[in-house]
Amino acid sequence: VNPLVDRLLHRALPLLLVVGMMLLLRLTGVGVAGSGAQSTTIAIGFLLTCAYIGGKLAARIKLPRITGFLLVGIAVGPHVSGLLTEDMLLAGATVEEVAVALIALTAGGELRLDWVRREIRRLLLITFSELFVVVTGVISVVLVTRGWFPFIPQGDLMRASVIAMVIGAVAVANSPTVAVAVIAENEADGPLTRTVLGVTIVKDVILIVLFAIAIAVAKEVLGEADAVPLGWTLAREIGGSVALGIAFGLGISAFLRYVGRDTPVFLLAACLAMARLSSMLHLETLLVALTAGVWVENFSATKGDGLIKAIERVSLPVYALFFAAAGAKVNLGVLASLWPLALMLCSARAVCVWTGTWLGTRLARAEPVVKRYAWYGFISQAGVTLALSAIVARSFPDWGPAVQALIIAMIAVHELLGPIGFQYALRRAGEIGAQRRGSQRADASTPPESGALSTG
Amino acid sequence: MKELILVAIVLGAAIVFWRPPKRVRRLGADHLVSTGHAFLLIGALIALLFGARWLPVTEAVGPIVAFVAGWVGFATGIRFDRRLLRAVPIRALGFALAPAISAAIVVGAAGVAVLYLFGTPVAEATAGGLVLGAAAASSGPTLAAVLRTRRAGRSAQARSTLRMVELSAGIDDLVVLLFSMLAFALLRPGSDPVAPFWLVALSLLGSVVLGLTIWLFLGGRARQDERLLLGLAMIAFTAGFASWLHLSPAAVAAIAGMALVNLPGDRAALLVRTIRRVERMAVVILMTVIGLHAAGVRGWAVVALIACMTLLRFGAKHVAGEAVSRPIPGAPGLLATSRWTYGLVPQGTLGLVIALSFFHVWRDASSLAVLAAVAASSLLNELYSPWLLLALVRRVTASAQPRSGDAT
Repeated sequence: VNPLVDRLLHRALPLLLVVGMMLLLRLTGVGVAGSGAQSTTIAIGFLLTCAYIGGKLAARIKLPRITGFLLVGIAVGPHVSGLLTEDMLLAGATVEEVAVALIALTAGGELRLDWVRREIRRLLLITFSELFVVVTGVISVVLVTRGWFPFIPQGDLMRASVIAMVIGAVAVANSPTVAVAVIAENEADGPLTRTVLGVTIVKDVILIVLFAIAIAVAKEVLGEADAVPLGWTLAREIGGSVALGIAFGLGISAFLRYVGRDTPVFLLAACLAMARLSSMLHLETLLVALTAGVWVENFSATKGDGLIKAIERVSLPVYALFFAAAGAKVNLGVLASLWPLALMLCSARAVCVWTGTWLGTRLARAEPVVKRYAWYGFISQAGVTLALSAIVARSFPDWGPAVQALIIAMIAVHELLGPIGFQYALRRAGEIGAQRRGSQRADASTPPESGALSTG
Repeated sequence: MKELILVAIVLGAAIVFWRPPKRVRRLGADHLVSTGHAFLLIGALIALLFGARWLPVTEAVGPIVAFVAGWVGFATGIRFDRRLLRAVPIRALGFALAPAISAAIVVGAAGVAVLYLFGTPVAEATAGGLVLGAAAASSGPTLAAVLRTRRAGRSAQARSTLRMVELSAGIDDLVVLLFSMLAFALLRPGSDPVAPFWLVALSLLGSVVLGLTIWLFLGGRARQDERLLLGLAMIAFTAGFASWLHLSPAAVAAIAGMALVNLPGDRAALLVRTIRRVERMAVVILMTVIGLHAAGVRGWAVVALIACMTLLRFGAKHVAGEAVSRPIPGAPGLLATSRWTYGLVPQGTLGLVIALSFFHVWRDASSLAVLAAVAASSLLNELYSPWLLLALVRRVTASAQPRSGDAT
């Protein structure tokens, strides 16, 4: 069959049929129009169907699949075509929480503590130099250009400093979910992959502390301090998350050791429990799942290979849903209204990330590929940043929502460029497909078992 | 603290489900675990322990429940492959359908009467009765299939009888689908812009189009994980399409599955092989959520409905089975012996799914009573069905063996 006819018949035509049915339902007003399980199910089905095509298209033009997922999400979301409404996406939040937990579990399962112990000096040097440069750089840019920001009062340097500090703290964040998804999709391994993943995870933990301090200081300065001491909040959030993560790690290890069947199903259920419990106890789902993954990989009798393989079997639908839903939430209207400021801050952040990584990798005497390409891995921003911006909006009702809108506009840019940049870096570093090549080499070098010899 | 207990219960249940301890196996409760009825009990236990606190959880897993309903319907639909059905004589199909039709009509009518007598308006009572009829028609073939591989079911007569039971339990889903479509068509929201008949006709057309869409998608080249993504996407879309129109996701997905399996090629098998890995999760979620909903529903109406779904259902199937218990011309491998309907006592998952969807759409007292009755009767029927089936097989085997006097 002609490839073009094949693609038209087996991709374009069925996609048109699905979009046509969705349009018919939406336009005729038959059935359920509001939120709830009914409309969420069709929204999930529709998002996944479009993501399937978007991912294939993206892979065809050598872009990361998650960029395809994001783009179709933007196209069918409430801010562009309006095929899916905000109500329909809202009720699917649980599925997204499960996706975050699963992605963090993968990241934790990839992290070997002996490697971290060996590389901790390097990881910390890169992390802290990047943190320092990005925070000071972004704060300086906001302060210097504060006259351009409509929500920064003129003449009030104190308030301007506070807002700049909060934006600086948020600008440090980059997306562990994007990093893990791009690594998993490309089956990448090597110094660049491990450094980016390690720094991203270390930075994520530090960011929780840094952001909590930034919010507490801002409230103190503005005279809106909480009654609960900062130390207690941090101890509860980080300590509680780690403790819960260890508990889940023990449970997963026990399951892998004593049951070991239908692991993907069990892991999905465990991730749902992690997300729900973290939300109930006001803990960080990301940190809980990350700790659980680290525990299974490093402290359980059954290593994390089984865990990673089980997750890999169900990872594509999870990534597709997570990133397509994230794309659907990208508000292009906000980006259109704030694009000059967003572009300026994105450029400033990119320069700072490059400078910080350049400095850190040289201080750490990293490998040439890490020195040259690591900064691409720190561009992306997604879920964590979005959550931080929501905290800003909640904590400072007078100027917080405006900062949130600006951050969302920045996320739209970073979310699209980040995965493309990271995949480019992995390709240039020659680390794409290294996991597959490594496992093939391991298979080839394993001597055949005695049973195989006797039957052979 | 309660959340931790909840997690412990769920984890414990998961371990019991995947690898039942010896003590559970010794109690003869193996099949309760494998059919997922153990999870029905666990769901009920959670609901009784935590009261209304479980409600947000069931709301959160609402889309997953609709998806599961779609999966069960889809798995049912793809069994109706005309290339396989053509091999079965028409008369055998008629014989196999008789108990299901009889049970659906008798239990359905009794259900309408009970609901009406307990104050449910006529339209709701009729719809509820139809759902009960659908659930009564449905039978589970798992036990018969398992027994056919064991020593007790290896004689030629026993195998033929068990094959008849399996055929009947497989084909009765047609009656279930018909009754459920009628039930969902009877109760419509007032805002419907078209008459119920046309809406149902259009949704049937939509189901066929969805089957065609899946078939077209499956024709393209895709990796294994992409097929999983596509399979999940299309089942979720089909289930969502049905839910959106206030129809049964299982029924719409079943028709889409039927359309898919009867189109040229063997593309349905590609999809089934890939998404079979989510089947266990589907059963666990379904049974737990049904247990969560059904626990704590009390009242004489539910008791009367449970009686309909156990005693009356058994009686109706038995009478219809006896009426057709004779050799089937042209079908030597199938035997409708006396009391063969003893094998049709277990309720199929499709009936449970339809009762759950009915409750999820309408969320009123009568739909909850119907769900509770279907769930409780499913558990009761499952408890005594192994003994009945074993008695049937022993009887058939004994009657086939030559008596000691015959030899002389």
